[in-house]
Amino acid sequence: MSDQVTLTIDGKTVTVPKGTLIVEAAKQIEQEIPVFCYHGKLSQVGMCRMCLVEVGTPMFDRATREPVLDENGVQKIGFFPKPMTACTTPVSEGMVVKVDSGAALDDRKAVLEFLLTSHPLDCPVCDKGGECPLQDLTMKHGSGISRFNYEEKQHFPKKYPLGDLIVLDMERCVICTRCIRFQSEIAHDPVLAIENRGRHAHIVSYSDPPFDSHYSGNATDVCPVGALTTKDFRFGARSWEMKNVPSICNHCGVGCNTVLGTRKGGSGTGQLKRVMPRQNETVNELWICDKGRFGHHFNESPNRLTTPLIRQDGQLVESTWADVLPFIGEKISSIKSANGSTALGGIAGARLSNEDLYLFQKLFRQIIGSNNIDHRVGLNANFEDTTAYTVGVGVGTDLSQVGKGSTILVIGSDLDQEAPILYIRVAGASVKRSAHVINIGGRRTKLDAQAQTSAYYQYGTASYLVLGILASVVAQGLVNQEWIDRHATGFSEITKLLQDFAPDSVADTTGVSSAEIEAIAKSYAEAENGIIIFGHEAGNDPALGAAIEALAAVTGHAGKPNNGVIAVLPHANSRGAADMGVVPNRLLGYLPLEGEAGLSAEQMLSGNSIKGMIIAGADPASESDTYRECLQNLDFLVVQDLFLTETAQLADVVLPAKAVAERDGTFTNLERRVQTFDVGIDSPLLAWSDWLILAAIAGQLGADWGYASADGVMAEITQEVPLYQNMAFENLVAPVSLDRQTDHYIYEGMSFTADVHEGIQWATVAENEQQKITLQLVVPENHTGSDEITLVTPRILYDGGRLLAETDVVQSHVFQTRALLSSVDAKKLGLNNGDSVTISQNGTAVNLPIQISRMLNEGTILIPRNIEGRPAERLVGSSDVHASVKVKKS
Amino acid sequence: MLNEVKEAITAPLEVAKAMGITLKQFLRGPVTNQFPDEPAQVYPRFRGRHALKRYENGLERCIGCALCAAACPTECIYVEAAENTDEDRRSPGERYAKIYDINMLRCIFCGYCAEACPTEAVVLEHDFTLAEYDRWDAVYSKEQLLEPNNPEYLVVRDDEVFVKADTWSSK
Amino acid sequence: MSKVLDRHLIFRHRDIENIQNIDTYIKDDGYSALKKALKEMKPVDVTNEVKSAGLRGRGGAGFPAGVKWSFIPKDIFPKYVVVNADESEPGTFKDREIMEKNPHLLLEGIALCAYAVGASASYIYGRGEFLSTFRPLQQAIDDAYKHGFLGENILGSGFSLDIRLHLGAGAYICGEETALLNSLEGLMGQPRNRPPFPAVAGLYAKPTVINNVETLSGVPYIILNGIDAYRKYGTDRSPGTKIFSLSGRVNRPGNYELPLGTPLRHLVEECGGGVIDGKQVKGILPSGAASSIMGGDKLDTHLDYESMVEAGSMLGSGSVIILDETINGVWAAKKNIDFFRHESCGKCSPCREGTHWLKSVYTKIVDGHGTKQDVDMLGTIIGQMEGNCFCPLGEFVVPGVRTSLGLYMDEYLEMVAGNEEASQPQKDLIHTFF
Repeated sequence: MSDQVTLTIDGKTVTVPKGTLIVEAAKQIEQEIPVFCYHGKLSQVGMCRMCLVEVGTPMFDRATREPVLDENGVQKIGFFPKPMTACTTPVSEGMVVKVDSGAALDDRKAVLEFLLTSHPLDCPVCDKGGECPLQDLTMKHGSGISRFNYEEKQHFPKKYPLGDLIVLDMERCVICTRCIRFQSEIAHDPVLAIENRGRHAHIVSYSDPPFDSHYSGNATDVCPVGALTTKDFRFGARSWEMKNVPSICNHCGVGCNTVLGTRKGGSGTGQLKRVMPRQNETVNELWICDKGRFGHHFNESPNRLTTPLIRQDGQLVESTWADVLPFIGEKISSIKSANGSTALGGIAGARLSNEDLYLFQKLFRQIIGSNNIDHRVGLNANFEDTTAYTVGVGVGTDLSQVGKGSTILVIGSDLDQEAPILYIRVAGASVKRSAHVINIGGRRTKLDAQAQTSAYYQYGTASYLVLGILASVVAQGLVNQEWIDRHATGFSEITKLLQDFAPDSVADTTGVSSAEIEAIAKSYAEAENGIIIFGHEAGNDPALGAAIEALAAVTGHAGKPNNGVIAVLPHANSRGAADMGVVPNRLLGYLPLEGEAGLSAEQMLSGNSIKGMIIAGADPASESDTYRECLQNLDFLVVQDLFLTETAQLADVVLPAKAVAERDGTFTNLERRVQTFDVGIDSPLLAWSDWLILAAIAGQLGADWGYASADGVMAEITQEVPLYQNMAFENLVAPVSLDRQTDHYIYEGMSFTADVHEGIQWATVAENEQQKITLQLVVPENHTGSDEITLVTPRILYDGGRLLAETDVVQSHVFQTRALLSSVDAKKLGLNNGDSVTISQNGTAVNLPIQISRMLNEGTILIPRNIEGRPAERLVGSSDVHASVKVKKS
Repeated sequence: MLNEVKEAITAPLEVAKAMGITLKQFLRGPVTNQFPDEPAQVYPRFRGRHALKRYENGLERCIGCALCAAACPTECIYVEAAENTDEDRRSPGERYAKIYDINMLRCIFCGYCAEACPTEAVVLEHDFTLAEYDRWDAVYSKEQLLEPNNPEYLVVRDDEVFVKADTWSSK
Repeated sequence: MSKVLDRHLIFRHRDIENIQNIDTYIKDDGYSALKKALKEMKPVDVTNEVKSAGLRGRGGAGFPAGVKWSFIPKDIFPKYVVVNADESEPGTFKDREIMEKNPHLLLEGIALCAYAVGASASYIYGRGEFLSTFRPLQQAIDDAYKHGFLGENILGSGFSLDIRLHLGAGAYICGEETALLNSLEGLMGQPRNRPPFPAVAGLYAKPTVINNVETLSGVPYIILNGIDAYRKYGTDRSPGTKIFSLSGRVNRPGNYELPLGTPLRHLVEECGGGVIDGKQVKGILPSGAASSIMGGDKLDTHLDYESMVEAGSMLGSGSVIILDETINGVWAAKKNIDFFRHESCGKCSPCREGTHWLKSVYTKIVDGHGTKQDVDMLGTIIGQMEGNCFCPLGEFVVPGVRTSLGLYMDEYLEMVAGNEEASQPQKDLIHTFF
């Protein structure tokens, strides 16, 4: 039997894979079948009855199984007596489907009339108006006349706040349950449900706080009517008035593709009205998290820097570019001549685009002559990931295709908080496509519910555990020798070292039994595809990176699609910052640095050898008092940022930069995919793009770079960085076909057809036949267990970052400064929710209220990083992840 | 021959008839309308300057749906909507127009906006005296278009309590 | 009461007193069928026996029980037997009497079915109002456990069975088998998509037999007395006896066990003692609210699956409701619609909105504000619902309204007479708003 099925839809023949639904088959031949409850990413329920079609199958004689022929010798088609729902019926060989036949059209008209009996006629004020499947289908299939008594329309409260981000208008709801299914099947936050039955059925949220999900905004996208709308866009603009600009989300490293809905205002300034996901099956499918969707309001904040500021008599006063730029050039030159170029340093935040970062390192290395540059400050302090360069996920990796036979190893990462869309994709691989997901971490996380295997290690022993897994792979003989011979050297050396890390010997240290370690090793090594995702909580341990690299290489899970390592880095362009060599010890494109390495951010900010600094898009002063003191003592500090941050307040010159929505450029995401974003809205009049500011500073120092635009910079990067040789803008924006002829938004809930481009991944060492990976392991530091409570400081989604702080609509979601404590410890210490505790470590003490959490193991206290007051950073230092602390009631 | 004779007799008659008409018009007086000294008369369906109407209870008819702007062939209408609250109710329902500008220099007075309006809020009235000294003055704001601009009574609450306009505005 | 059967097959409590007591039941050959099956028969023999006896589902659809059991895959475990005791059809009250008065017959039937399909767990799903019914049933289950007819290793045969009772929360839709399964699993009582059918993926996505209480109660007699003894009753294609719940305008409403094929007239006149005050029968609802209404002239129809379909209705669950001349046909139809409107689960739009719309139009007509157009609209609304609903609940609405319109049109017209038809009743809304 072939896997393809041929059927006829309205006279057109189409061949599709077996098991395809009629509605999907019809899309292939531009035959739209109207739907409300059907959504390609969700399970099929067939409850709106809008997709009714006539279906017939070839007739066979019951007794003889011979085809029944009509007088012309053609096999007869037996039509089902009742119309069938195209969204639940799979195709079969020889099937005949009538979509636009009289009976099917009548049924559709009938169903629409039923749906409209309880639908209000408020299209003119409805935010969905203009991009509403119900509106479109009514125009196409509706009768145009309502026979239902208008006075008997049902009434529910208008503008019911389903959560504090989502507004429900139950009158408009057609009870398709797309939102409920999205929440339970994709987001795995089953917080929505239908209450009551029949015509009294309505959508409710059972969680407390209501609609407690990081993905609530997507429910408004999938809603085929205007029942669910977002609070911040309410009455913002009509859909046809907006210009949709393709962009990239700048809140985390996943690099979700977004659409900026922008509108030219009456006075000519562009306004960013909303951010919506842009379909990219290889990155974010159809979804974005709420931080990406709602966290764009910082753009229009009144606190934005609008003009260059210069310090005069101790005060920052407004100035002009013409005044500040020569001043900067003068000061930098004088420091350079007085103290040497090594007295100058720079920190560039990983939120800047590749172009900015490239020019940043070029400015320092070529013009100033200093290697004192770094991007690792704040959330990814001192964390360096080179595994992506050697064994990163292969080009063409698509987590939405990873399924049965694949193993995904998640180490030390709460994906739901660190990289929400990555969580959706990993959980989807597990739940929908039966990939084996192994979640290893120091505490329970949301992914545990979807992972097939979970293991919990003692904090600080992640590297022991990975070495144990590696040792077990070798011991069980699951090594992919052929791959190692081809791509790696140094295997025999590491096997010797691994003898000290047999599962039995690391079981005690890590708290994971040897049987578990062996099972994990077996599952990962034997899988057809293996992906390792590791995150912040695994620790800043060089031993871990080396062990993960070796594990991926030894099992041969590298260098091909759907295999390799993903490091969950915190910022939108952390990957790009590493690629562009904004680190003191490496040149761009991971080329080794000849000569002495420069100072890292940590060293620059804690020593006193640096006299002048340029800080672009980073705020180290808010991290620690040491940093602040160091910055205060600088002779000269230039800060370029969106806001007058704590660092900017210490600066001698503050330069206003453009936000992502206001400029173009490229980001490189966690999977090394380089993607472009476009100019959406106007910036404050005097703000410049970061690359332009850096080029101007270089100009003052005598360089003549002559870049006219960001793609000009990118053109140079393609020349300079071999990894980026294909990344010219025109390649990055090449459109990608959706593989079907009909992509009307009734199917997916995407109400706009912004360009789809997938971006380009650069190839790792493992994919390069000419290069070999040198395997080497680092022996982890001795881990000493302690009886004290371990403080862990994970990253969270709604932290106290400046961009979120400027966004009013999500303020209630921002983490209120407190510590989470397990119930066992709370009982031991006699604490209740809200009690204040003193947490102390090495003489630093912090007072915080506590909240008792079920998700924590005994002996663990949790304070997220980057929250108001930075208690976590004060206790563990900016580069560590965990520490032993003393906790007592205060 | 006969025709020529006939023509010779009828021709003067025709001339006299034509002169008669001329004489009649000569006596009728001028038809020139002495605008602007006298008001100009327009037909009932004349399409002049727009007005935004109110309901009898004083609430604005306009709900800020921007369908007029969508229908406008010259894109001379700009609408920005905002949400009604019980404290500050401008129109029935959820939505009202915060900004409603019409650029009368671009407008071609086609009346599509009035045709598109679902609440019959925007109508084209008979005023055609739209000359301005400044181009910006030709952009009419919502305050200029609302009619009546200062209604005697206003509804300020959902429960339709009528409040006299002057007492309301003094609040 | 007329006695057609010398011996009741299911309503044995009408022959023998106190049969809910397990000792009395055992004395009357109780559990002998189970013993016989466990000792002498292979599971497949039990299925074949039931198949050959022609026992058909008594819940309404009339699907042959043996055939249903044979669909259960052999190699997937666990399997479940679910007993549909969600007897919510207006006018049906037969299962309740079985469970209250002759509970061991049901338990024995469940055990035989479970043995036949290889299930080791069974759930009896009853409607929420069956609290008082389930107390004696639970007592009977406890007794059966004590006597070793349920539990581990029944009668030393190695076959084990547990029976659990579960009360729903009172929804008609949960009588639909997939909605019942959803409700049993703790989900919202809404029907599921088919395929997969419950026989393949039912309760907890495992193979599941779902049978009505009366169906399973018929099994022990077949196993014990053989096919021929069973086929002695009823017609060739509808063998056996069936309990008819007679209600409405008759002198003696109640449950009557009759062989299939008995004339309707016999049920009404002999068993039910005729119509109250000797009035004429105006309409017959042979299967509760879900059925087509038959005119009074159809009294001579035979009560079996085939004849009823021929007469334009269906046998269904055998709940015969008699309307006489004193009943207004429109009012009766409205009562039915009120019921369906209240019980519509809201999953699919034609049923959710259609039943509500019908109710609103019926209310208008019965309140005296209806017009001829409204009567016509009733016909178009059911036309729009027919075939478009997700599950049978929505489809059940259609025949009642349609036959009511056919039989009692003059009453409808009388009710709307004199009311002006609005010349332009509806606005052309699309033109107004777009």
